[in-house]
Amino acid sequence: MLQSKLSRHTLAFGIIVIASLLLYPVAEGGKTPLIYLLLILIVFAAFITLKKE
Amino acid sequence: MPIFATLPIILILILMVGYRWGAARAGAAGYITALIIAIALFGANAPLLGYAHTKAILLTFDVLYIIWAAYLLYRVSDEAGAIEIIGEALKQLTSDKGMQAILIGWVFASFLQGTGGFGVPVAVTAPLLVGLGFSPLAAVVIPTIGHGWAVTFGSLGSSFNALISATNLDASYLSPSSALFLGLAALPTGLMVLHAADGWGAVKRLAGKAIIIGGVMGGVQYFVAVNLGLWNIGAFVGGMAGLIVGVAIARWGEASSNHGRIDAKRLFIALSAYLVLILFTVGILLIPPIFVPELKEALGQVAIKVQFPETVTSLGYISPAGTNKPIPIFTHAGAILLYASAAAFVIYKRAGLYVEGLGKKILKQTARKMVSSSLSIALMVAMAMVMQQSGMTEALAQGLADGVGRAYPLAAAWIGAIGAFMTGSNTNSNVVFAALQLRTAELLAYSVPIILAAQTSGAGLASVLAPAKLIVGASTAGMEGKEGQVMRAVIGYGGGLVLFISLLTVLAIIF
Repeated sequence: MLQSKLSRHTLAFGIIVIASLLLYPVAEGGKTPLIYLLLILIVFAAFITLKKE
Repeated sequence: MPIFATLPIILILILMVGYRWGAARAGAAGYITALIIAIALFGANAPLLGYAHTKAILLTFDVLYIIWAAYLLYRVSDEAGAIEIIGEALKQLTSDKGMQAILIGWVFASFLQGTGGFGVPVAVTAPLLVGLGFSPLAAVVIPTIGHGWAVTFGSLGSSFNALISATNLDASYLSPSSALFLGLAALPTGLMVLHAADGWGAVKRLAGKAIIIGGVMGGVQYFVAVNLGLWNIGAFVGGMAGLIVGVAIARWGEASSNHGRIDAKRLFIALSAYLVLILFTVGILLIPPIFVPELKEALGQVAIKVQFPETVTSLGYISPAGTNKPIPIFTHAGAILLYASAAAFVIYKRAGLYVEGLGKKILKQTARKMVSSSLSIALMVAMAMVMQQSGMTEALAQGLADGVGRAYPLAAAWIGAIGAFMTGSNTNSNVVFAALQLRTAELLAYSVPIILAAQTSGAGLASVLAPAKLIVGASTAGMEGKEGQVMRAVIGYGGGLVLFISLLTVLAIIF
């Protein structure tokens, strides 16, 4: 799935959107470990974007 | 500290210009760098970063709503052959090289920028100019310079919308200065197009006509964006006015002697997508529906609006509590574009301009085309928001204010230009730099609308020079691999236009 650029970009975009939206209720609840988990997911999305074909 | 705050931006610049990385990859690198610096050096904590990312995705959605819908409208009309019909009609109007360059490489390219952008102005007009006998180099250079002035209020308002969203300032506060600067930039643009097309002889021969057409386009854009408040169709209507006046001048001027017959009905159908867009825009934004004004108000209430608390870094930098810029789902500029796309699709289908199953193809093509640019915007916005919430933007602004000082008005347009050159996008430059420019203007007590006008004008005019954009344009005119030649040909014109804005900024600040 990560071979094609379109697939990687679609996956990365999806992760960023979902994780960013989830960060709001998680931040409101003060759940720090979950916040970092979601941030790690977004960073993962950024790393797969960095991958060159 | 300011030097560390610049690292994400410098990194993006080096990666895109030096190593020719795409915007998405460079944006990813910039985002990761900003996140590390924010945590390690600026005291950003978990809740702050959480809220920053949510703000970022809301801002991203606000920007992408227009971009996706604008591209959809472009696909709907392009698949119907509408763009080609409009271009062919223009070709038949005049045999004068200078006038052809004006009509196709400047006015039509500006109209296309108004309706879509995304590299379309050059991609569509360069082959038309090659067909008229222009050299491939001139065919790329002419529309590249020609459409820069229309970028900010083009793409159906996406770049200007990004400016509004990134600064949380009102459109009516920002638009007068921006529309004035860009309207004035249309004048030297027309003269540069003539020079690129046929040298100083064309400039001397057609300067008067170019100034009339430029004055009309710039003036109409100003009127529509500022007086009517319809900034999302400013460049679109300006381009359309330019087409009407330009066609009139070509048909009745001495430059035309062998103009061919134009199929008016075919042309009208081709233009119908854009006429429908004007109707929807005016109907939804300007004139309340006659029978159910309550519906318009009710539709405007359906908006995404989120309350954020105050955040404080461990170094004491405070981001005050507040809401995001509300995103009205049904009256957003993106929604208007969707309505226009749907209506245009029905019109073109009934006119028999589509083959079976084209609807799905258009949607699929739109999604495929938009994914990478959506990702690059999401990452750039996330980077910008992390920098803002952690105080990095403030540190940068303070550093700029201390370093450049009273000369800042001269630099503002160049900052916007660098941002657009490295990201290939007026929108991205506004997302990354608008908050910085706003804060620096406030620190130095300069007019915020004027400095932000310099930001977006410099960005719009320079975005057309970005390597990624030049690659697209060059490929459509058979100049693959010769992008360096194109860059050398356009950089003087582009630099001249940014300098023009820079000097306008100084004059505006003084007077």
